[in-house]
Amino acid sequence: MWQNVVYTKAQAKFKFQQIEADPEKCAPRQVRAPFDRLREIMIDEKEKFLLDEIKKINSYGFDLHMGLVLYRILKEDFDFNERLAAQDEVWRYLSLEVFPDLVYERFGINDQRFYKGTRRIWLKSIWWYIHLSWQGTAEETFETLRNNSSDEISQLLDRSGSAGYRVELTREIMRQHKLLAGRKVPQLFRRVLKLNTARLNTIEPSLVEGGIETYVSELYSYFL
Amino acid sequence: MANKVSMNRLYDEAMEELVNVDTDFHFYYKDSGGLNHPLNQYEDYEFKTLLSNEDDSWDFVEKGFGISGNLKLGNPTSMFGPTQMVNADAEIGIALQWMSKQSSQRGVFPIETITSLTPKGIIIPIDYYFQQNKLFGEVHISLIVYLKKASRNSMRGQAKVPGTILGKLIEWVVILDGSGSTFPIVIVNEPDKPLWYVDFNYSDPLIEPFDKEYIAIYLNQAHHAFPSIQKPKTKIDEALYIEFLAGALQLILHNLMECSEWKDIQDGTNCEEGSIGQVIHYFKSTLNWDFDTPEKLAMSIRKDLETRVKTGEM
Repeated sequence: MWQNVVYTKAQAKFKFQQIEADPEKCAPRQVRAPFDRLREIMIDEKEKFLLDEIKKINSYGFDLHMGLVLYRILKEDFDFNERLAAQDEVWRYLSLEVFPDLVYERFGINDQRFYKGTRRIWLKSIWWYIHLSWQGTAEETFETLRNNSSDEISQLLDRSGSAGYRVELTREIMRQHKLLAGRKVPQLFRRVLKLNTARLNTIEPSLVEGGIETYVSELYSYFL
Repeated sequence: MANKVSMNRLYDEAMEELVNVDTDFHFYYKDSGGLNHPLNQYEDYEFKTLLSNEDDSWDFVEKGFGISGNLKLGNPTSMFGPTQMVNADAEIGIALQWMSKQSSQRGVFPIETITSLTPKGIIIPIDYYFQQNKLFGEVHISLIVYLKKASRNSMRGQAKVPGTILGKLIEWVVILDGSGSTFPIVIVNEPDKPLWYVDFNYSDPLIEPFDKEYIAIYLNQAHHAFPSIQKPKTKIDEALYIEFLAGALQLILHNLMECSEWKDIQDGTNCEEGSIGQVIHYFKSTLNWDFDTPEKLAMSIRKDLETRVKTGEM
């Protein structure tokens, strides 16, 4: 199903211009199978989330909820993997052809969130946020992330090292972040990630004595 | 990649000579029955490795690929001592590191521990398999040397923090998607469009790679002249092919000349590996394209392309 997804940046730009011209009517008339099913589930989840009137679409809570749903459905029913998740082409297609109305409702007309910003494409960013924070089950992951904010999403995606994410490392950083949530150190997460970036210049976390867990503990204890 | 200043003694060329490293590696894939088959490798003009099997049936997306072989260290103990890379009671580790910016992932796999007692001529077998559902684009694979255990008596200039990377023994850049360093041509089928056109989507040419995501030359298969370019048969076809490519590349260069990073591109400074800037600088410095004036550029591009088409390089 994924090998048929061809969606260049030029196609995305063209489609985005159409959406920009009349954003209120950007919901797709028809979505190609099997992505119609994906759309159905996601839209249904959006509506369920918004049944609670206190909850807002323009919120971290919405991103977390939709991220977990997207992650689960893609994995279970769409044979999704890291190789596909790394390709902007896949996310551009989903943003502009399957969920344009959803992206518009969440962010308005924002080309970075639809297709342009490689780490900013909304669906891509919430999928990677969940993937890099995954704690074995959806429940554990939700518990680990529930008290965070949109800042954690962008910090994690932007500051996790050059030349690719170390998935085991980011998962441990998120695990310990949750454990230390009670300590009221201002901007602890941001500072830990900055220190991590500096240390990664010379050290490989999985090769330190005690491994990644020790490495991450030392990052946090530097500020505690 | 930015230059890093290290306060530590590192694994450098002099150390490499002392240690006397010898490597013998090959790439392979496993078929559905678990049997290993060798992959042929050849290098493109940037020394990146392209893999294929005899009948071209291997596809990374279906089978993944592996690297296997032996690393031989003639004099491993020469890394140890008060004036060497680490002191005698330290431990050095050998690991396989892989990094793929396009896949947004990287990892490390520890292999062996070397101490001052490791025998001469030690042979370390290495085997690592990349599953098909993980990587996309390119992957940098290297064998690295790191400090596994620090000395209790580290000398000045010797690394003290375990996990510190001391150097690389060998590195490969393997291309998994794409055909190596070629021009970013996208075939389209649009009856109402001309034979070719270009599209720009780059925002930082010093970082973004020279590929169709950022700069694309669209070649239209709905145009009646398309077959002449796709498979040139006559001298006229060949000339048309060169004209198409030269025209498109000149447009790309003019577009880049107007951006604020142009000086860096010309000088080859601050350009990340594989970036638009680095490739354009390569055109200038190695292929002798003349960026001084549009007419000199037009002439030099055609001269270069004609030579390369004649010699069969393109």
